[in-house]
Amino acid sequence: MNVPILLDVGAVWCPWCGLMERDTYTNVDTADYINQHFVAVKVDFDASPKLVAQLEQAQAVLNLPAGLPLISFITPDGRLYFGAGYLPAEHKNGRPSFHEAADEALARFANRSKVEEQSLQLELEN
Amino acid sequence: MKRLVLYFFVMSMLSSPLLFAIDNLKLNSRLDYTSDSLDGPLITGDDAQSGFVAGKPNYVVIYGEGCFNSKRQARRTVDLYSKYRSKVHFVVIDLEVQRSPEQQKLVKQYYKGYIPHVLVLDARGEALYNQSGEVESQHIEDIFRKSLGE
Repeated sequence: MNVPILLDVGAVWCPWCGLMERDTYTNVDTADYINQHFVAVKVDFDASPKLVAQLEQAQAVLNLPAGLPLISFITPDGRLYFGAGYLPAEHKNGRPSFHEAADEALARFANRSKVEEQSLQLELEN
Repeated sequence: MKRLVLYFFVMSMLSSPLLFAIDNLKLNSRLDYTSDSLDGPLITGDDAQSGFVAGKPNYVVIYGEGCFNSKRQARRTVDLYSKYRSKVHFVVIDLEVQRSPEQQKLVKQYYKGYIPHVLVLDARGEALYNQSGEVESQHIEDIFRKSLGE
């Protein structure tokens, strides 16, 4: 499948992760959209803190938001090319909605030469 | 002679590190610092995107907006700023927003994926403190004083 990976890192103690799950991911349209365009992966911070730290670091190196929740967009061959933090269901206080960010991720994915330019090959150790 | 004086005045102003340092640090009045929230930057200030400035010790905090540990460190940061603003440069890096090239240089060199991350760099940029997690103000003050020769 030549679609990007949508990787979401959250934690049970992170209120913004819980809010995103309740408000954004439980929306049926959003779920359909994700299933149609991405391979979705959910990671529990506490299960792999070392792995997540490497992801956070990679996202920060690309000058993308880093923190929790951590939303990473990754090519099928493992290049981190776009990411975000908390994404609400609707655009709010200057913060893009999940759909806006995901659309941007798809647009960037379609431009492969730009992806090669502005991305980082992930070599994660757990 | 007047030209010479003007030249030296302009050059001294341009080389003054104070011109490029973050100043007027304040806690964000819209935020509740006793709980988690995600309503904007934890610390506001003028020239908030400034990076390392040589010539004085630098205190650097790398934080995330929705992180309670970062909030507690933000309060300590503003307290330290109020006491040491004339002797120490402060650098405040918010990982939620796009960062300047100067701040990205510090992120690439020191950030290891955990927040808050605190650095104290000496006047030449050597790390005197470089740890993830909260740190008590007293510990940082001890490092400041040592670095300042007090």
